[in-house]
Amino acid sequence: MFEIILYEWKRAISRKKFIVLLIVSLFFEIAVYLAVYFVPSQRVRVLLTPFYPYMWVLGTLLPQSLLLHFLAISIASGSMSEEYEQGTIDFFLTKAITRERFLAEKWLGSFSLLALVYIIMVVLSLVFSYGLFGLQQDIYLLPEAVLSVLFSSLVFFNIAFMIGELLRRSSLSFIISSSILIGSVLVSVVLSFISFITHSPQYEEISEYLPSWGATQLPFILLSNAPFSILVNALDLMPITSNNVLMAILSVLAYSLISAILSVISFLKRDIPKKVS
Amino acid sequence: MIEAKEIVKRYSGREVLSNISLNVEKGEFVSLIGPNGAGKTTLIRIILALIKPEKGKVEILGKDPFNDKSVFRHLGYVQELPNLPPFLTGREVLLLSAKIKGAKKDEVDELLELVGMREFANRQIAKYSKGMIQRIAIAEALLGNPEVLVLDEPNIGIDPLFSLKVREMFDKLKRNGTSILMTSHELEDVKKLSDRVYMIYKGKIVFEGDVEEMVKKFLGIQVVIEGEELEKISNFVSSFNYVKKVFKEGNKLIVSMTEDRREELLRNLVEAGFRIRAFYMDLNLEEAYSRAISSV
Repeated sequence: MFEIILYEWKRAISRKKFIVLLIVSLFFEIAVYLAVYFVPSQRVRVLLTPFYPYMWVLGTLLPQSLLLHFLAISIASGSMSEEYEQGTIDFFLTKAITRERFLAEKWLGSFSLLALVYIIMVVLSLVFSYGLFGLQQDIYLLPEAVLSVLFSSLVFFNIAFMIGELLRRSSLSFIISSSILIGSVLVSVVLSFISFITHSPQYEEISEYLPSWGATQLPFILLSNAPFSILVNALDLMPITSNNVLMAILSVLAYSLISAILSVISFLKRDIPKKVS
Repeated sequence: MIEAKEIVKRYSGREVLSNISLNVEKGEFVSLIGPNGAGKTTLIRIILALIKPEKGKVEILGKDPFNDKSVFRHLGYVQELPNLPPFLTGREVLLLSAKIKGAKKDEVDELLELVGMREFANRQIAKYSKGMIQRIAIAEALLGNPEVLVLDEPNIGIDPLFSLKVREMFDKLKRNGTSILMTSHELEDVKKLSDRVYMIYKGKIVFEGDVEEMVKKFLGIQVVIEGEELEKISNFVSSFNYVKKVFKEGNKLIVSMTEDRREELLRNLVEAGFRIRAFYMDLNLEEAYSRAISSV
């Protein structure tokens, strides 16, 4: 039991692409805290001082905007596709392992790795916020923030996992999944801009149906009424549209479930070819 | 132990396997031969439940491998050009397989020793040569003492010395009751190991039987005679009406016959006073194989 989950961790960690993204993410996390701490301008420092007790929010929510989704795509896009490319899928499926178990453990292995990376980031953010900025407040909101970030990361994680299974090519699935993320964010920005200049809210409403909306907005919407809401809004790099929590949850659920279902159907129904490339 | 019944497989409307049936009994070594693209690997992958056939049924140890994966606890498989996780070491691959198969960890070191990989066991698969990977794959297939072995070109990339060892290993396994299905282009292995041979060509079984039957069918009956006075023997045997052709090949005489009257021929030679050192059927499987392909 769980052999495939451990195998999946080893597989992901052995990839240079993942290691580079992980290093960049951790570096980014640390750099943000150091930049805020060592900010040279006295005026900016005065402006930031009221937020020092909420600095944990910085490292918890900042990766959510884009970085975590790229990490999710990096891990998930290769999870199934690399097994086909390397021909290692035969190794598992010619053992007493059902396809359902294999897929479930692969998914769990990849997603738990993403969660672990994010939790390391959160731990780093706590260490740096307490170490550099003193006692932190409203920390009871941390579990909600972490869970909402992990939940919303399911969208692009599952999209990349599905594309990896459907195409069975890791580079192509990484490129396509990343393009969907970037494309969706760009379309969102454009729609918000059109909405702004035309004063027509329907353009913004359209952007709520894009996969990036729930994925990038849910944690910010959930924490928008927190005592540190100004900081939350400042960290939200995407255009602010509605504050509909239910809609955001449904968006995350819809995109992640549809992708998951398509992955399952594809894996259970299709033949396992000889090494793909 | 392995049974495939009336298997049909199509790719984009093209039939790559047409109504193929195959079986391997307990303790039997069966070889599947045929040119590249004949459908051997597709058939193996159907037997292993990796590919679903359009029609037909597969059973391993009396169970359907598509619905009951437990049969794989008793099965070892050597993939054609084995693809093992490149980031794991040889030992890690075997330990992972032992965990999944429920085999004892002690077996790992024994098998590493058996395939001569103990000293390289802690090196990553990515740093192995083809032959080393093949050795690990063979060890991995043998973990847990499988009742059924499926070998897809098990000799690719391995050196002649280890190839001999592998042959001995498979022979011993067969004698201990393991059922083995092998695809191979190494006809020497096929000849020496197989109880039965299936020849597959363009998705159809064109021959089923033992090696001797295959040679008889496609080459006719050819007897090799080794002895003294080969010229005289040649003249003597040519006088029989069932002898089609006689020719000398080195210090051997090859006698081609129209019907299987080997016993009678040998008796006549002995009664005529010829000193015969060896008298055996010429099992030229390579020649029979190439005739079989050109005759289909």
